[in-house]
Amino acid sequence: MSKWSAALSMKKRMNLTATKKRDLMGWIFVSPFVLGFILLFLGIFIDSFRFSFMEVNVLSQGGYSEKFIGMDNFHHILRIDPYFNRQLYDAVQNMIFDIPIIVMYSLFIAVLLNQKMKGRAIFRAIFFIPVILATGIIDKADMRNSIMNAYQSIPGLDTGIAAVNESAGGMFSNLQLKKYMYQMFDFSPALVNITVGAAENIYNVVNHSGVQILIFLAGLQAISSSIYESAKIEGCSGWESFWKITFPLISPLILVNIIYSIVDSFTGGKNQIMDRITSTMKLGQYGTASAMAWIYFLVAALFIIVIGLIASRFVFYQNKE
Amino acid sequence: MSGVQAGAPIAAKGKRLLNEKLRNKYFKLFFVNRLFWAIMRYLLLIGLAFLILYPLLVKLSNSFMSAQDLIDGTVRFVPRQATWFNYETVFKHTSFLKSLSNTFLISFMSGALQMLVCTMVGYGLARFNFKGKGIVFTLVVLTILIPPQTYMISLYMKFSFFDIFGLMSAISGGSIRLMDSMWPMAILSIIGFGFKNGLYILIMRQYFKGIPKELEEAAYVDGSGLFRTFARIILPISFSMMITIFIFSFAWQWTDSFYSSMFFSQLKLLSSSLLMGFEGLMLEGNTLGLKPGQPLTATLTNTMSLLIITPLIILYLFAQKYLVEGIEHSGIVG
Repeated sequence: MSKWSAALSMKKRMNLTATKKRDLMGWIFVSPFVLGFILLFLGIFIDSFRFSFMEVNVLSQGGYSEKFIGMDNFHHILRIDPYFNRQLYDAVQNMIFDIPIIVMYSLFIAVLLNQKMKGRAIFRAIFFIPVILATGIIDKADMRNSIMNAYQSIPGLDTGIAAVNESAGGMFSNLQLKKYMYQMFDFSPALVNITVGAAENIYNVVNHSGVQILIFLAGLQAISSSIYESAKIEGCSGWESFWKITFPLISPLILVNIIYSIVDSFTGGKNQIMDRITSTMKLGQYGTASAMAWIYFLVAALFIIVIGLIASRFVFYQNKE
Repeated sequence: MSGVQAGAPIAAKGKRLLNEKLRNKYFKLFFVNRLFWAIMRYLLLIGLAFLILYPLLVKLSNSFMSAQDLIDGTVRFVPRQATWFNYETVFKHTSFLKSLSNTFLISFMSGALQMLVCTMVGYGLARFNFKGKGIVFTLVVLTILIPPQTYMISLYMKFSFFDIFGLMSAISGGSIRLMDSMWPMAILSIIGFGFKNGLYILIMRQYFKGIPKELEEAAYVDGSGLFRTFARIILPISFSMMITIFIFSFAWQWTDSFYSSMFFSQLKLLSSSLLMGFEGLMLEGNTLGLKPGQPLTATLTNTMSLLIITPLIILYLFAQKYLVEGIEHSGIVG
């Protein structure tokens, strides 16, 4: 009897060490990232953190001088700078409005694009285009053209180029639409603003959700079709099987997409604060720029933590830990 | 008694008729319903696709217009004198094929490396319970949050005077300048710090967490080692997600201007020549170079951006075939 239990406990201990050993192997898998972080990025982050408490001057003969000034940079940004707080508030507001719409829209489109139909490949390819445009290089090229156009007011621009500018800026000419609605339907200004805002937003949402759609689309492939088949046999409607099967199984990726959308709206090219940080940096005011970046970073991190914690309560993982 | 007996078949017949009627009606409803949804789906998808495509279609039609057509206000969408002139000019003046091959090499390398590394790190974070996992995961999320613009200068310095803990200077006496070579991108990719690599790691981690463990455990029980299991079982399962990540990093490296302008200032790349634009270009028969903002200048830029986008779309059309159920092929059913 005792022999048996000893053997059993021995086996248990060996098992434990075996899984523990395997868990330690996890370090091998994450080692590229950890090594890279220590070798390259730790220094950069520390530098940036130090700069935010310093006045940094770039010297003309190369190199830079630094002077410790305590919290002055932060004080300057938050208390003296007239724009920063306002821009920060706007950025947060935009993010809170946009993210639910973007995530819901992209899940919806991904489910549609996952269904069998004619021309699916073409549609998938079209909805992939916003991913390419996300780096903003095409936008940059467009933008420079349109700025030049406005600057030089060259005649003959109302041909193709004007159409390009119009379409690059948004499908609907905002003011025209508003005027039209005032005159034709006698709407109240508030209603007109909401309607036009929504219409403008469709364009934004469509062009900012390419990445999310692709992530969802790949995630949907991990859901075995046999689950749907058995649900159908049991009499599950499409609506039910979406909420009972697709939604829980895709929920880990919903969390990813929420986080990505937050980051995208915070760091995207259209964000005013990012523009300010980079332009301040180009002016050579590294101290101020670093302080701005850190404030901004902390706010974004706070949102990600809060939203991530709330969302992760609803995320369903197939493996219990 | 007899009335009932005589009535029974009639009633049965009536019931059958009724059933058939109902079934017909039901089937019709079913088909009408399906047709309705199919039409709605196409309407929605085509409408949204139009929103995405419209700017590109305008660019496409413009790219076939001759210089006269561009100035002519009556020409819209359909070029009157269709010409290959814009394409020829772009090809001739940007050494397009050279920069295409350069861009392809760099994008393919960083795409493949980032795909493998991020899958590995994501797997490590999803499946192993080692100490410090929480910290590593937090760092991954942080790296997504911090935009590369904010540490641009430090990064530039790191690769201009490349040195690992003074080891390099001890060996070769001085740091190495890695600019204008593949190395900066390769190093960034291998350590998982390329463009948006934190996102890829996060995607893979979440993806693995959503996949049942049974298959791996079966492999372990059968005596398969850790890396063998990873190569033979994990990678096939996650194929569709890996393809997606490869597409992301390939497409973003292809159109990237941030790292390209920082690391490859001397190398000809598609993105850098697009951003250089066509201002000041001397065309044959003209005495002046192209002015910025001129219709022709803008159209040349647009033509070039179409030429940059097209290979990516073709790549995606091929790759999306692999966006099929990966898990189905791996043998877990139910």
